[in-house]
Parts: sequence; structure tokens; C-alpha cells
Amino acid sequence: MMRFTNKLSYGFTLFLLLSACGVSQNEPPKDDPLERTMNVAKQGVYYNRLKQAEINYKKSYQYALTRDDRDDIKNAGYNLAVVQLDMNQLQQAYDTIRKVHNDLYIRNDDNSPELDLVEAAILYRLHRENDALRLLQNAEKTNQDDIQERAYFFMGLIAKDQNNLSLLVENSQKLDQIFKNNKKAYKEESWKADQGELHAWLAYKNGKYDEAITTAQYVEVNRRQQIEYRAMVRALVIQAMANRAKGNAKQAANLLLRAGKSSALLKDYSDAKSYLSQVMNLHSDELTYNLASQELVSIVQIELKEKNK
Amino acid sequence: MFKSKRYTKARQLFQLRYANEWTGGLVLLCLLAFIGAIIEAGVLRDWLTPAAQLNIILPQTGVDNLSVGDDVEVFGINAGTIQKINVNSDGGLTAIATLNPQIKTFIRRDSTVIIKRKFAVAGAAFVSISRGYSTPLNWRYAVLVAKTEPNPADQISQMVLQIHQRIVPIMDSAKNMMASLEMTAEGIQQGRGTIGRLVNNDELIRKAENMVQTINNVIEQIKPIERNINQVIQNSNQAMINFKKVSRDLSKASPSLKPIAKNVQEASAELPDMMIQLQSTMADLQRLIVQLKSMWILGGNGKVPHKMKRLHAREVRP
Repeated sequence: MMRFTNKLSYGFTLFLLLSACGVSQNEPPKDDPLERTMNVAKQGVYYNRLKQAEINYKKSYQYALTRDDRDDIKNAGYNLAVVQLDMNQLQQAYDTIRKVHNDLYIRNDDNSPELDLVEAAILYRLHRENDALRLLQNAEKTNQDDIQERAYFFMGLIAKDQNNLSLLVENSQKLDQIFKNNKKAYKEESWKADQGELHAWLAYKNGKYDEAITTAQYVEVNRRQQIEYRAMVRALVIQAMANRAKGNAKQAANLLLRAGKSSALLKDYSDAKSYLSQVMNLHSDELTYNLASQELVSIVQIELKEKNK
Repeated sequence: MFKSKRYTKARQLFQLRYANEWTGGLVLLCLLAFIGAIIEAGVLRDWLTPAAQLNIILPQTGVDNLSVGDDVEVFGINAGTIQKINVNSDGGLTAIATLNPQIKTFIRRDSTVIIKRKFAVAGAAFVSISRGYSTPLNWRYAVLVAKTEPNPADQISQMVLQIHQRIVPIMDSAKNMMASLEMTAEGIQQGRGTIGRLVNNDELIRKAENMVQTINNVIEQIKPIERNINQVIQNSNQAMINFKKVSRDLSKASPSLKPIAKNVQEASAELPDMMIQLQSTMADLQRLIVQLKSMWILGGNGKVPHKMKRLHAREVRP
């Protein structure tokens, strides 16, 4: 028994010794309320409690203003706008961006690629592609790799919408370049999905429908795993369009119906109505047609209810 | 001679030496008492005071058979007579009445003079003067204006005339109303209008009967519900009884609540401090976990990973 106790004490001493080799304890004092609200809000985003996250980012922004810290203001403001964008509160997100710009302007910091990226996303959702493109061209100049990657991806999407094939190729190649130069890129599943989505669109635009379908299927699974359902819907739509181009109307209708239902539940009613209308125009089979029409009617009813509120 | 004989025959009882003087004095005394009594009774004063004279301007419409010697009454007292009736140069008539001077104080400027008859419409005329209360008259030339009392017969005929004037339009209206009523009744008889249809058309009655029947049916259907409602009310009563019991129990338990509340208050006062301690512990724990993760023995590289304050760009979703 004595021997066992001695071994345990030696082992614990060794553990502490090794632990001491791990890290140093020289940390500056922190603003605890700001740290806490930022952490809670981040957890809120992680667990998809966006309302809670928004409240805490608002508090964080107030703390950052009190602290008069430019970086904290930028981070809290950016995070708040991102959460509001995720909640589909476009006007509030836009107002937040403008507010943060003003607060940074009086602190002699008017250049913020991350804020430009969020603003571009807002404008993209409002179908103001040219304005979004201008902001993204500024955002891509940053040295923050995640912002840069996202800027390339957004520009690729805008190029696809505008049928600008050369711009689509350019941004797809820029994404590929990131994977060549940045070892970290292969660990980022979302980057792989972004690259795949641009490749799928490029294949579709070039008439390589099978390649487009295969790539889009990979993207669809990836997006579902990453809990990025809005992006997953886009992957379904790529598959649907490729199938329709191939003459497989039934499969196209099914995919569009799935995309429409998911969009409706994500409250993207405009996109959902567009997908469902396409299903009805395809006239693939009676069941699909009826399901699409029922879904369309229920969306219109929801929209009317929300308008009457 | 006889005197001398009597004096001579009987002896004189006492001697009236001043009898004549005594008799004369007694007579004078009686006279004085009489004069005093007269003065005291005021007869002399009445004799000496001249009668008051009132000029009464008679109405232009006529004097209503008033003549010289007729009585003048002041608020019901016979106070004098009409002494004279004069015709003025302007055609008017003036009566001069002599009045008891004592009555002058009752006749003033606001007294009214009315010529009346003894028996309303017949009998002798007389002048009635009401009592006045304003300033006294100047009795050196006192003047009042008289009026004749309205003749009751004239008043009655006037009243009859007025009644006639008012009753005739009412009679005309009644006649018109009766004509309208007759027309309405005729319309109802012929079945015109709602009431007419109600009177002449049996369908409405039948509908009403049906309605009553329907209502009866509804009431019959409601009866079972009523029974249910009674049941519900009974249940509610039972619930109320239970509630009373509960509240009684609560009231018994309430003395214990105060210490409990005190304990809770004391415990809750410490909660903010505990929260701060908890937050501090959580922060330390978080740091510890990060440090442990970074230990090479647990697969770390010995460096604390850079903690990005802003969200990853993948959260920015188009």
C-alpha cells in the first residue's frame, strides 16, 4: 500500500512538472464583462440560439464602446451584424454595419474588409449584385484568409448570377490557389464546400451536367454536415438544373420541391416560391405537382398572415 | 206771609245762611263736569274738526249710476258720502266725496278707487277705496282716479266667447282626427300596411306560432344542458369547498411562512456574491481546460491557441 502511494505521488509530481512546461501564465488583465458576453454570444451562435447571441453581442458592443477599444468595437459590431444576417434581419444588420463604420471612422479606422464582406452579403440578398461586387473587391485584399476565401466565393456566386463566366472562372481559380498555398485550407470543410459549389456551377455552365451533379451532391452532403442549410438548398438547385438540362424532369422536380420546402422553412419565401413554381412548370407527375401547389399555397397564406400583422 | 207764619210756627232746624250760594256752586260744578265729559268723549273735537274732502276723477266710460249721497267705503268701513258730482270743462266728471277725517290716514297715493254696486250687478252704487301704503295725499286738494268694477255679466259673456274661440279649432281637429282614424281603420280592414297584414293575413300568425314552437323545441333541447350546468355548478361548489379547506390550511401554515421568507431572503442576499464566484470559477476552469488542451502530453503543442474574437467568415452566409 505504501509503495502504491509513493508511486502515485511521483506520478502526480511528474504530471505537474510536465504541465508547467506547457504554457506560461503571463496574461494581461481582461475586461471580464466583455469577455463573458462575447463568449456567451459565441456559444449562442454555436448552439443556434441566435436571439441570445444577438442580445449578448449588443451588450459586448456597448462594453467595447465604453472601453473605447477599436478592435473590440470592430469585432463585436461584425459579430452582431453576422448574427442579424443569419436571422434574416437585413435592415437591422445593415444599420449595425453603418453604425460600426461611423464608430470606426471617428477612431481613424475606415477600412474594414470583414465589415465589407457582411455588407456585401446583405446587398447580395437584396439582389444588389453590383454594389456587393464593389465591396467584395475591397474585401479580397485583406490578409485574413477566411475573409479572403469568402470574398472569392461570393464573387463567384455573383458571377454565376450575372452569367459572367470569366469572373466565375477567375474566382474559382483564386479559391483553388488558396488550397495550393494554404495548408490550413484542407482542414476547412466549409472552404472545400465553397470550392465545390463554384466548380459545380462552372461545370453546369460549361454543359458538363454529370460532373455538376456529382460535385453538387458532395457539396450538398458537406453543407448538411456543416449545418449550412441555405447553401445546401443551392446545391440541390444545381443538381435540379443539371438534371433538367439532361432531360430528367422528374428528378429535377423532386430536387426543386425539396429545395422549395427547405427554403420555406428557412423563411426564404421568395426563393421557395421560385423553386416551387418551377416544379409546377415541369409537370413531371401528379403527386409532385400537387405537393408543390400545396406548399405554394401555404407559403402565400403565411406571407398574407405576416403582412396582416 | 206764609213763610213768615211757618217760620214762626216751627223752630228752624239749622240755619241756611248761604243756601243760595251753595246751590249755585253745585250747579256750576255740574256744568263743569258735563263740559269735561264732553271734552273727554271727543265730541267737541269731532264737531270742531272739518270733514276731509276727496276729489274723485270718474272714468270716461261712465259713472255706473253713481249719484250724490252715495256711500264711500274705505276698506269696508263707511267713511263718507258723495257730496257733489261736477262736470269739468274738458268733458270729464269729478265727484267730491266728504270723508271722515280720521280715515284720511288710510287713504294714500296708491289707494284704488272703484265704483261698485251693492249686490254685484244690482243695487245702489258706492265708491270703494282700498287702503294705501305709499306717501300720504295732500289733503288740501286730494285727488284719486276711480275705475268702475267690471260687470260680472260682461265677464261671463267674455269668458264664453273665449271658450267658444278655443273649442271650435279643437272640434275641427277632432273631426279631422276621426276622419284619419276612419281611414286607418279602413286600411287595416283592407289589409294594407304591417298591422293590416297582421290582422288580415293568417300566415304571419302561423309563422309566429311556428316560431313559438321552435323556441319551445330549443328550450327542450337546452333542458339537458341545464342539468349539466347544474352538475357543473355543484362541482364548482365542491371545488370552492376544497379551496376553502386549502386556504384554511394555508392560513394555518402562514405563521411558518415568515421565517421561511426570512431564510430565503438571507439566502438570496448571498446569491450575487455566489454568482460572481461562480463566474470567476468558470473563467478559471475555462482557462485551465485551454491550458490542459495545449499540454504536449495531451496532444497539444505547448502553445495556447490563438482565440479569434470575431466569428469565422463561414458564418457570413449569402
